Amino acid sequence: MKGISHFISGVAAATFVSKAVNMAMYDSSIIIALGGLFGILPDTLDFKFAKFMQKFDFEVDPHPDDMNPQIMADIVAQAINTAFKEKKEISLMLHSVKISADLFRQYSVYFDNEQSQVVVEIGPIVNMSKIPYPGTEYQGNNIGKAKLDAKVLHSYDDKTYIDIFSGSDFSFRKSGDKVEALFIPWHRRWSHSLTLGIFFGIAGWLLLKLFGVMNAHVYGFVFSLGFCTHVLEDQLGYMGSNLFWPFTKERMNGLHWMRSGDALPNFTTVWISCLIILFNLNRFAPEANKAFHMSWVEFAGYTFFIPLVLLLIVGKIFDTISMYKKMKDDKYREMLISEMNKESRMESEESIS
Amino acid sequence: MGELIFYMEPLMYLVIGTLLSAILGCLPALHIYNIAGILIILWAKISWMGGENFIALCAGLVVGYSIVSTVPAIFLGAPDEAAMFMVMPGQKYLMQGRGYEASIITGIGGLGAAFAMLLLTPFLPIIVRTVRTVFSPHMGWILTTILFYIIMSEFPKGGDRGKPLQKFLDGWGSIFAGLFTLFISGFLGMILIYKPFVNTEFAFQNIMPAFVGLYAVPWVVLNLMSRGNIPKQHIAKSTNLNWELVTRGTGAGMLGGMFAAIFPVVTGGIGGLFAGHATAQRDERLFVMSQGVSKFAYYVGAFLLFFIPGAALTRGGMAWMISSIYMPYGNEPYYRLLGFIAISAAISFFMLILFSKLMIKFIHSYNYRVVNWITLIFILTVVMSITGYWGLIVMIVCTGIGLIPVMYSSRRMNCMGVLLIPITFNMLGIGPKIAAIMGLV
Amino acid sequence: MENNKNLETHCPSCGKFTGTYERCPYCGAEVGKRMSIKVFRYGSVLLAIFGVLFLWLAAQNKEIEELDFAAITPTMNFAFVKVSGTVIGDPRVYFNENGNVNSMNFTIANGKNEVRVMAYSAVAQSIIEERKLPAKGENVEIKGSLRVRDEGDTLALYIQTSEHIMIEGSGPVKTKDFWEITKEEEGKHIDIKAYIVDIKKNDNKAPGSIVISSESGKTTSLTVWNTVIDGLRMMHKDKLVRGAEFEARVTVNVYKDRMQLMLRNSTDLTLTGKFGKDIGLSTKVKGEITKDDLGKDVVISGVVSEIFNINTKNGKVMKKLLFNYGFGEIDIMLYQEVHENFKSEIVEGNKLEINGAVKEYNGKLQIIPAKTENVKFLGVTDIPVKEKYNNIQIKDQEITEEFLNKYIDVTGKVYSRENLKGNMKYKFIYGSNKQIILFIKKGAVNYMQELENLADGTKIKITGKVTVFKNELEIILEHSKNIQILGE
Repeated sequence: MKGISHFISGVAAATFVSKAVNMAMYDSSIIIALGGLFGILPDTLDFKFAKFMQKFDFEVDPHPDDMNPQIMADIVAQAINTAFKEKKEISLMLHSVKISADLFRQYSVYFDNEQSQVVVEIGPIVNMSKIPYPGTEYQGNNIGKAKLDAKVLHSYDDKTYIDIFSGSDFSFRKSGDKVEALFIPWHRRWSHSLTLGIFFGIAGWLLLKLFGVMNAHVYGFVFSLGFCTHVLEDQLGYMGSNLFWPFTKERMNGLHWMRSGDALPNFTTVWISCLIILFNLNRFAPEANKAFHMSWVEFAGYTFFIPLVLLLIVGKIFDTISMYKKMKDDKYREMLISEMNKESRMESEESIS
Repeated sequence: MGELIFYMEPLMYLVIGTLLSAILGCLPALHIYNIAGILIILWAKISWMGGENFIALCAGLVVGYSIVSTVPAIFLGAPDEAAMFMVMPGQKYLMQGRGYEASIITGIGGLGAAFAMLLLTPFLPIIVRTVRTVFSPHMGWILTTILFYIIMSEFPKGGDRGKPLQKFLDGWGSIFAGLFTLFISGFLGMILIYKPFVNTEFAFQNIMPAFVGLYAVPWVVLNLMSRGNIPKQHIAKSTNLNWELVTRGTGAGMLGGMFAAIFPVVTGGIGGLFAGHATAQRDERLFVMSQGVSKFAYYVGAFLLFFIPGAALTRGGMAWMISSIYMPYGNEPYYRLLGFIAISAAISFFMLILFSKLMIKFIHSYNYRVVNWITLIFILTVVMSITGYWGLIVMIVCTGIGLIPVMYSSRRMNCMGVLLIPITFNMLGIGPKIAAIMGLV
Repeated sequence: MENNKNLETHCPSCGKFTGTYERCPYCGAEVGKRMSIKVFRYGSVLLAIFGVLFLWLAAQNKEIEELDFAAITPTMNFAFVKVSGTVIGDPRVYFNENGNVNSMNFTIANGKNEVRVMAYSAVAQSIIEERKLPAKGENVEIKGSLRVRDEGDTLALYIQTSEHIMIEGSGPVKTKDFWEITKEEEGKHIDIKAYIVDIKKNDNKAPGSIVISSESGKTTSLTVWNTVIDGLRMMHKDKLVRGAEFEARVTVNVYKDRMQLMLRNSTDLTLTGKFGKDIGLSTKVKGEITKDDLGKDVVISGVVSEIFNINTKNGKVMKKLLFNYGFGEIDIMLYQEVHENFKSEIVEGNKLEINGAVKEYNGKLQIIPAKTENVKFLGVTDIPVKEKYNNIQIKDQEITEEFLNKYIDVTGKVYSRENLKGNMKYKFIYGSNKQIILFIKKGAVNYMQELENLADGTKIKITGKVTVFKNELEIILEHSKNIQILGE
């Protein structure tokens, strides 16, 4: 998930600890803010440290004026084949192709297991929102293919687009008669582990105790809580994390409930976290300072479910508007008529039986 | 009829305020709070109008500024890729010759915000009261949280090629620059808060030279230095927006803007960052629009909070400035202000269209650098005349700080350390100790 | 897009986009930048660092201006100024539920101008902790951030650090035993050490009190405003209990010619953490109350012998009870606030339990219960306490067993006194030389010292109960009021 989602869920998690809320309220402690800090820490460790430490065996770094997809495909294939042949982990960096401050030449890499080949396709120029500019399709040969010695096991997307920011990297590793492809291998490895979260908690506790900080154990607990909340949230996605590093070596597959970059789960997380913070702070406030007296069910009703229903209704209204716009389109009309017929058939069958 | 006449005079001042800020808003880097500061000094010196009229004038100024200031922001900010790592979406529009479109999208955002604010009217007192009751004993750590997020969300730029250490240093360059900006502006903020340099006579403008230096001057300097050329602009017939985008943009912008308005020290920029991240916007139209919404929600919202019956909050520069001359009582000022906001927003939107078109003509026939020079001289005159030599020195030092994030590809938001850091320290109760260590007590 | 390459943004060697880099990240070639960019790049950092250092030095040496009241305008909002003046009114301190200081404020006057001085949370806390809170009447000099409201009519000064309060000459503070403090020390601050006995808030606008006690049992009460009591409760929570030892700085006030020890701020009282044994636990009297018991809080039970109403100067009615507590008789003084709330009117013959401090007035001991709850109703005695009761009048008849357990009024002479552990036993000759034993209980004797020493042949009139003791009839006399010495 996005940084802010992790950050604020770390804060929200910390507000469940009544002692922490009291420390924040009465002793000007920043303990809850630290919950947020530890909530974002796993990604910080990855994207601000681990990322730079990664060494690459192969790099694809094409010149924007001369992309040559064949050479690019050859390098990718060579990386995979080397991993298969030499039975060792091989890392590959696919650099982005920067055209100007906000424009990139997009290209994609596809592991075609049926044909046992890797396909590199040069795409258009896109901006930071990944929106292509019309008329910027690559002039000349835009597809390169190279043979693979083994099939590729791939857990993230089928086709990997390399466009904005730094690009993407993989590591390949022999796994049976196939080669396993791990997307950004330095991510969610050691940093995203519950064991590390607990370690940070204990280390924080001991360190703060050493400095004579009161309630050091509560700090330690909140550190662990924020950190582990991040790890568990990420587990809802596809990629998963190496949950018990150093006892486990592999990323455990995620629950596939959502994609970490999607707007909806992120926004929902932030919204729910904000509500939790509000509810908990109010709950642990002294009676005189309470803004409301509601059970969590009632509170969630007003602040989550009613807005949710309203949003769904608004969303449906937009669907209807776009439907009426599309009515002009023949194909859409065809589909609509078949849907209508299906519905009326179902109703008539129901009344007969 | 009687009521109508009663409102006629304030309405006139509202329109004057709106027009005034629309015209002045077209100068780059000129903040309406500076204009309002001058007006308040004049008002205090010669008391030339009634309080109600003055408030109407201020309302016009705030609303007009929050919508029309988009014009210079979009048209007079050609990006220079040799100096800037990132290009803002508004600038992208400009570089594609679609500046007018961007300007209108932002304006629609402002109108959306005005509409959303009217919808929120009945709930706003409840929201404000709840938030204040629950959060006020927690403000210290909440500001710390915001500070942490600003620090933690600064992501490395570059660092793709070379050995690990090379990559690390390259990537961390912008983070270091951001941290340094935050630290040094915070350090300066401690000085300015514990030992202000501005003469006591115009003390309400204590922090003004700092903000002018941190934000306005670097902008003008950059414009003057920039070699980016503005391509030919065309006036689009449609903005390519649909209702869904408008709703989403309004929602996102309102969240950020109102967050900034309600919480102390949080400005529109910080609010926009949070809202942008929280709603995971990718679409450029959405981004540009929600910036417009957020700007309106922040400036106007913060002003409106001052009028909420029974739950008034003093937030934002305008409310702080008028707080020494006006105190609203009862419901009437609140609802009157809402009406004023609606009227002024509508006028401002038309002014935005007008000035965008004028600006396009202007850019093609004149050298717009002249405008930047005029602005710079105007700003210097204002700072010098209100805050004296010391204010000018503070402004120059702050210009140095304000240029760092621009020149080293970090975010200008880091300059907010000037307020965020000392106030967070004070709320956590460590401000006086740190000031004592710094020898400021 | 690709054709607007220039030498500043693209590598001259490999032609790739380099943006802000001055060295191509792809091939390492140098990418030239124009002078202005270089100047601003390095200039901004230098300007920032040296500029801030310069401002820092300047700030350290900057003097803070004195506020010129005549020149106040709304544009002076947020001015950082120095104000001096005299504190008017007692400073107020507010606490949060956890006992930390939320805010404090006081008003100072400088000529006709008044400025409200405020501090919040940590700053307020440190002002209190460092005992920097000034007292009413003290001259202070304060630095802070000015707030101008109502176009300059209302002024407030926000203190940013406790070091910005300067109090001029409040004089050295003495430490004393509280019972040695006298009226002559009016206006002085005195540090005392004692134990808490009771804390009483007052419902109306009058101040409440804290009853305190010394180790030896001497008591007095400190005058305290309700907000201060609230503050104390906030600060000390459950540690603020009877018996807790404390140190406090009190101010000697004189109010209506009576001395008051005023505790001005809750923060002027700190608990030592020690507890006194049996402090304030009113001692049940196990003997006669003497002058050694002055100041002690005692519990006695006994019977109301007689009631006098005393009209006080302020139009209230005070009741003085003559009270027999078994070891003697003592005056109980009931203030109107105490007796008017008693569930029924107190009449002679009521059996009561009284809790109060022993005081001395005009050389006589008295007990003053502080509140209605300190007077408990135990029942009604059947012992008549005054002549007006319809007792049997003995003239010539003989006191025989038929009078057993009845009350009689009789006149006679006493002979051959005998002291039985404080009780007095006399031979009583009444009527035509009839004889009976008269037993005067200790209580009556203690109240009326003469009863201990009645000369033979002293004529007295008594009201007593006829009882049997060791097969002999005797009259028992319990209250001194039931005896009238008629002479020899």
